[in-house]
Amino acid sequence: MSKLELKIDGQTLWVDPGTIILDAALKAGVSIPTLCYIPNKAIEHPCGICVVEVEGKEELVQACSTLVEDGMVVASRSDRVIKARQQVLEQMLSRHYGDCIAPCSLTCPAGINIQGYLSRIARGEFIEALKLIKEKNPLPLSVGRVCPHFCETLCRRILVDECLSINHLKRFVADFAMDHKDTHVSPPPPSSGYKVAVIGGGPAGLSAAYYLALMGHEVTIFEAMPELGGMLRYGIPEFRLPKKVLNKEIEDILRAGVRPQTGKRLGVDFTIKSLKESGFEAVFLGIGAWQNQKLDVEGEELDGVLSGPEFLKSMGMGQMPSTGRRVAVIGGVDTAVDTARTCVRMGVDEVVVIYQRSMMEMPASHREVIEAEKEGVKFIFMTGLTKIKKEKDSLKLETVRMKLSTPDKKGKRWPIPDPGSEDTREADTVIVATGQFPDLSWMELQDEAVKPHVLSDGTIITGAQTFQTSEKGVFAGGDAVRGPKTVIRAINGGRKAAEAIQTYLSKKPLHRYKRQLNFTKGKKFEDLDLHNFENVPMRLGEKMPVRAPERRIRDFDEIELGFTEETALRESKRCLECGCAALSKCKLRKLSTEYEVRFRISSMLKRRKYEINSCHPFIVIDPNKCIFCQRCKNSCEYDALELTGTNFDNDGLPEQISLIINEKCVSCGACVDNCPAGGLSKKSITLPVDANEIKKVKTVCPFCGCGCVIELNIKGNSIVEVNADPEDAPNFGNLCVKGRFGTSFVSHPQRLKKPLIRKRGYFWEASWEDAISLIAQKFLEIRNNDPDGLAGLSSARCTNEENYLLQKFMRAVIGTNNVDHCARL
Amino acid sequence: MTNPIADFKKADVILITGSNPTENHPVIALQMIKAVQENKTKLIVVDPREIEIAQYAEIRLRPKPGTDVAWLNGMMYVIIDEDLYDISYVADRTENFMAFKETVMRYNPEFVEQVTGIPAKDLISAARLYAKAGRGSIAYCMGITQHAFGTDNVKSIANLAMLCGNVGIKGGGVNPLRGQNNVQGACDMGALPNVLPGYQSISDQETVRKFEKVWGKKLPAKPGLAVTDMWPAILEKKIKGMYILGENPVVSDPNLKEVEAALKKLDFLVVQDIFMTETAKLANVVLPAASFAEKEGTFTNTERRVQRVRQGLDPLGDSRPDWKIICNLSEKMGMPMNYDTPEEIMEEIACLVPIYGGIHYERLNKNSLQWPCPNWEHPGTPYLHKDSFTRGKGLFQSVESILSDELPNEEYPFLLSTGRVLYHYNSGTMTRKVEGLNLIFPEVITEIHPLDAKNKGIADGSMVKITSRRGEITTRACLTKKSPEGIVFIPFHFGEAAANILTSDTLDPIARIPAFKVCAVSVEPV
Repeated sequence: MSKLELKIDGQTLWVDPGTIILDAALKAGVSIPTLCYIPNKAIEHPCGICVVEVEGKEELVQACSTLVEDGMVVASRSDRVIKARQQVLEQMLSRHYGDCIAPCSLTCPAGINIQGYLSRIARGEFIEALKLIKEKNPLPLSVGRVCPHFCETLCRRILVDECLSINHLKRFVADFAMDHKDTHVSPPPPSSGYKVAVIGGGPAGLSAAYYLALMGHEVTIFEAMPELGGMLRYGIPEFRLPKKVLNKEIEDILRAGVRPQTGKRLGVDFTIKSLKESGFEAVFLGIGAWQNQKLDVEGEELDGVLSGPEFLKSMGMGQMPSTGRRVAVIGGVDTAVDTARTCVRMGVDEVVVIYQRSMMEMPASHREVIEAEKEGVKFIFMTGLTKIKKEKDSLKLETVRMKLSTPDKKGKRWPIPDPGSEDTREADTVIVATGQFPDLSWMELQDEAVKPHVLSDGTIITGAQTFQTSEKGVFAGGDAVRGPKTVIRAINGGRKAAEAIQTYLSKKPLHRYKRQLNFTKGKKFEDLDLHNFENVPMRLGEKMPVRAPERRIRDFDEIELGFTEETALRESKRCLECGCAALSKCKLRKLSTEYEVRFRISSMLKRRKYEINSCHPFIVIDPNKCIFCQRCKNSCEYDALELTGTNFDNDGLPEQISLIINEKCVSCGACVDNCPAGGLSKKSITLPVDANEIKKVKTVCPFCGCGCVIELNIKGNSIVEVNADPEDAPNFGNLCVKGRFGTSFVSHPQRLKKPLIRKRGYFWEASWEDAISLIAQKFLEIRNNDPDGLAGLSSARCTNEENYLLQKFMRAVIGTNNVDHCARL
Repeated sequence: MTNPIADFKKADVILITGSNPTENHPVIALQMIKAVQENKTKLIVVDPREIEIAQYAEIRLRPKPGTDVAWLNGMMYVIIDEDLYDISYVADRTENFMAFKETVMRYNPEFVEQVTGIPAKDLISAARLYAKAGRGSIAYCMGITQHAFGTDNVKSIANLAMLCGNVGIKGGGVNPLRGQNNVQGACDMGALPNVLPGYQSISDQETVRKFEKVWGKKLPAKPGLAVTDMWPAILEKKIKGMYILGENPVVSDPNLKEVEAALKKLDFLVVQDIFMTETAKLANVVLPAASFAEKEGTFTNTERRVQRVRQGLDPLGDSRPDWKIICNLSEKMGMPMNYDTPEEIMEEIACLVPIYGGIHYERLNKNSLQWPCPNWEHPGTPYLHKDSFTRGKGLFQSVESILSDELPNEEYPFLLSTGRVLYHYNSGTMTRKVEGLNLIFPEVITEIHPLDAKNKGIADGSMVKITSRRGEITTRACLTKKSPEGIVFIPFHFGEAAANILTSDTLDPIARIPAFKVCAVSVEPV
C-alpha cells in the first residue's frame, strides 16, 4: 500500500491509508486537543473540539473521525479553528458546576494549598502539611500567630456551623515541626553562580531570600536594624509573637543558604548602585514602611507625644519607654491595638484607643480588638483628635465626635466633625499610630544613581506581575510597594519577586501569565446553593486555648497556647474539601485556560442538578461536572458504566445526564482516569494539586506477577494517585483495582518506622546500631556452632537485588544453603 | 512463561487450567478476554470451579479436583488417536514419544470420564479444538502446581503443548502465570535451597568456583532445606535461628499451627517487613523495611521481563531498603558488602548469572528486557525454546494419574480449595491496609454450592465452622454456584481466620509445594 501525503500546519508527512488526522498530526508533533477520543471506539456524541480546517472543505472537520486523504492540507490552529474550539469549551463550561480550587486557597493572599495541608493534618502527616505551607510561606511559625485569617472568611463550613480554624492549624504544624526538630529545611542546591542582594530583613525580604536561595542563588540580606525580622521583630509585640519563635524561624531561613548582613542601612552603609557595582546581578527592595504618618494636629510635636511604630520598636529592642499612668493611642491600625495592649502590660492604669470611625471600618484585626478589650483597653470610636496641649505634667487632648459625610462622587462617606460635640480628656502620653509609609530618604543621596519611580503616597512602583521597578534588575515587594499590609501579603510579594528575579536572571522575558480559569460554586455565600451541604453533620470548631486576660496582662508571655495533636486532628477533619479532586487531570480547565476562553462565572449554573454519589468504594460520581464526553463509558472493558443523555440541545449536549456504575464493576478505575473533568474522581485523592506540581515516577506494581508498569503521581512525600501509560508493556495502560487503588498502604500509619527489640516479652524501639549488633551477635553464636542452624526466607515482594543479597548473605556470610522464599505458596 | 503476555492475543486457542485470571491476574485476564472478543481466539477453561472467565469459553470442563493428569492424558489420547498431533514437530524436536504414547493410550475418554467426571464427548471436543487450532497457548497457575503431584501436572501440560507443536512459537507456549510480583525474580536470584543464582547447580564445581572467586568465601556444598521442610527441622532443633524478609508464613503456609509452634521454638527470629505482621509478632528483633515505592531496584515478572523499580518517596520514618539492611548486617558480621546502589548489585549479578548477563540499569532505564539476555548486545528473549529446547530435544515424560490421599470421607465430606480474590493479595499485609479494598471485601468467606448449603441448613451470610484433620476456623458462608457441589473455597488472605489452619502440609516430592488445592473438610453451621 502506498503512503498518503499530508500537509499539516506547513509540515509535510506521509501516512498509511486508514490513518485519522488526529493520529497523523501526533506523528508530526502537532497536538490536536480531544476530550472524547479513545482509539478503536466509535463515539456516539463527539465532543467536537478536535476540529481542523481542511483546504477545499467548507466545514471544519473532526480530526478524530476524518481519514487522511492523499494531498490533504490541514490547518490545526487557524483563527477559525480556535474560535470553534472556544465555542465548544464555552458550551461545556456552561454545564459544569463545581469548584476548581477551594475558596480558602483562593482567598489566601499567598495562594497556599490549604485544602491540601488540612488533608495532610487529618492524616496525621504534619511534616507533609508543613512542606505544602512552606512552598508558599517560609514563615509559618510567625504567620500562624499573626495572620488575620483571610482564608477563614470564605470557608464554606460557615454555612453549616462555623469556619475551620485554618490559621491555628497552620501554627500547629509549624510548632509541631519546631518541637520535633523537623522543620523541613532543604539543603542548599548547587550554586547558580548569581549573586542577589535583598535589602530589608522583614517578611518580604526573608521570603524573597529563602526562595532565591532554594533556586541556588547566592543571597545576601542587608538589614538596617541589629537583627533580622523587620516588623515581625520591631512591630509585633512579644505576647503575640515571641522572639524565641521568630529566631527559630529566621534560623531556618538562613539555613537554606542565606547570608545575613545586619546593621547595614541603605543610604548609609551602601547604595543600590554600590551593590550593583560589587557584583549583585539583581536587587530586591523589601524595605517595608517604617515612617509614621503625621496627624496634622496642633501639638503633635510636644514631648509626651510618641509614634506607635517607634514605641513598639523600642520594645522590640528590649527598652521600655516611660509613659506615665494614662495613655491615649490615636489610630485604628494593628499597630494602635498592639501599642495599647503593650501599655496594659507595662502597668499603665488607663489605656484608651481613639479612632475616628466605627469598629466596622477599623483596619485592625477585630479579633485582636476584642482581646484588647478583655484586657482592659478602652476603645473610643467615632472620635477625632483636634489638638494636643501641654498642661502641667500631663497632656490635654481636645476631641470631637465624628459623623459620616454624605457620600462623595465615588459613594464613599468620610468622617467629619459633628459641631457642638467637642470634649477634652487628659493623658500622660499620646501615642500616634495612624499608618505608615516607606522611608525613602536614601533616594536623596547624591551617591545613589538608582532611583526607582515612586507613587505620590510614597510607595515604590513595580510591574504587577514582573515585580520589577522602573530600574532594570531592581525588584521590590512587600509594604514598600503596597503600603502597610499584612505579613502574608509581604511574604507573597517576596516569593513572587523571587520568581520574577529567577526569570530575569535566566534571561527570559518577564512575561504575562495566562489567566487560570477557576470555577467556583459561588464567590459569595449568598450565591451558594445550600443543597451542597444537606448531608453535612454539624460539628462546631475547636477553640484555641488562651491564657485568661487577668493573668496575661501581668507579663509579656504568649497569649495563645496552640492546638494539641488531638484538637488539630479533630479540627482538620471538619474540612468540607471544596476543591476538585480531579484538578490535576482536568483537561477541561487546561484547555479552557490554553484557549483563553472568556467565560463569565456569572453565566455558569447556579445550583447543582444532581446528587453526588459516593457509594462506590473508590470513585465519586459528580454528574454536575460531567461534560458528556463519554470516555468513561467507552473506556470501560466490563460494561459497568451506564451513561445516558436525554433531551439533546442544539449544541449536541444533553439536558439530562444519568451516570451509574453497575454491579459488573471490578473497580479497575479505567473510567476515572479517562474522565477529562471531575465527573468521576478518585475518593483517595485528598490532596488537590495542579498537574505541574506532580512528579511522575514509573515503577512496577507490587502485587501479582503480571508486572504492570505503574506511574506514581507524587507530591511531597505522598502518592496522590496511580495510573499507567498506554505505551508501556506489558499492561499498555491497563491496571486492576490493586494497581490503581491499592498502593495507599505505603503511607499507612501502622507502617514500621523503627527497629524493635523484644525484651521481657515486649517490643521496645531501638536504634539501628543496637538492633544490628544484637542480630550479628546472635547469628554468629548460632553459625559458629553449626551454619545449618540458621535459615533465611527471602521474599517475592523484594527486588532482585535484595533476593540476590539475601542468598549471598546466607551462603557466603552464614555458610548454609538454607534459603528459600514463598514461590510455592 | 515461555511466551510474552502480549502473545495471548496472537493465540488461536487458549487453554486455561488451574488459573483464575480474573481474580489473580486481572490485567492478563483482560487481554485474554479481548483476544476472544476482538481476535476470535477460542478459549478452553478446565477448572473444577465455575470461574468468571469460563463465561467466555467455547468449551469448559469441570474435572474433580486433583485429577489433572487424567484429563490431560485423556486429551492427548484423543489427539494421538485422531492423528491431530504435529507429527513433524514431534519427530524433529522431541524425544521419548513412543514410551509416552504407551502411557497416554491407557487413558481413553470413557476411562477419563470415570476418574475426572468430565463427559467423554466434552473432552474429545476440547482435544480437537486445542489440536486443530493453529497456535495454542496453555495458561496455568497454582491450581495445577499446588498438589501432592504438582510436578506431574506440569510435565503433563508440557507434553500436551509439545504434542501439538506449540512450544517455541508465537501465540503458543506453556505459560505459568506467576502469582507474586517478583516471585520469578526471587527464583532467578537463587533464593532457593538447591540452586545458585540463575538456576546454576550448587554441585557444579566450576560454577561454585566462579561464585567463590567473586564472593571471596567458600560455599556450603550441602543443599539446604525448602521452606516447607524448615518447620519440621526447627521442631527437631536442627534450625535455631531464622532471618525472614517480607514473608508472613504464619498466614501463608500450610498447617499453620505447626508453623507457629516452630517459629515460637526458635532461639532467635529476625523479621524484616513493612508492617507488624503475624510473623513479626513472634520475632526477637523486627526491622522496618522500606516499601516498593521507597527504593530502587528491579522486579522480574511472569514473562521473565526484568523491569526497573524506581524510588518515588523517601523511606518512611527510620525504615531502610532491604538491601541496605542486609549490607549493614553483613558488615557487622565481618563481611562488608560494599554496594552504594542496587545498580552495583545488578552489575555483580550480570557478571555471575549468564541469563542476566546483559541486564544493566543503563539498558533497563530505557526498556525492560526479557531473560535470557546473555550480553550487552542481546535484545532479550520473548520466546523460550524457539528453535530448540534448552536441553536440546523436548522430552516427553510418561505421567500416570495418582489420586490424592486427602479424599473426602464421612467425617470430612467436602474438598477445600484455597486461593486469592481480586481485592486482596496473599496474607493481606498490604491490601488489608487499604480502606476501599476492605470495603469491598472485608472478611473471610467460605464459598459453598447452594445445594450443599441447603442440605446442611446454611443460609447465605450465616456463620459456618470449617474443620479439617489439622484445625478449624469460622467464617461467613457465601452461597454460589461457582463452587461445584462437594467443594468449598476459602481465600487465604485473612490472618484472623486463616484458611491455612486447615490445609495439609503434604508436599510434592520434587517441588516441595504444598497441596493447597485439595484438603478434606467438614462444613457445619454455627
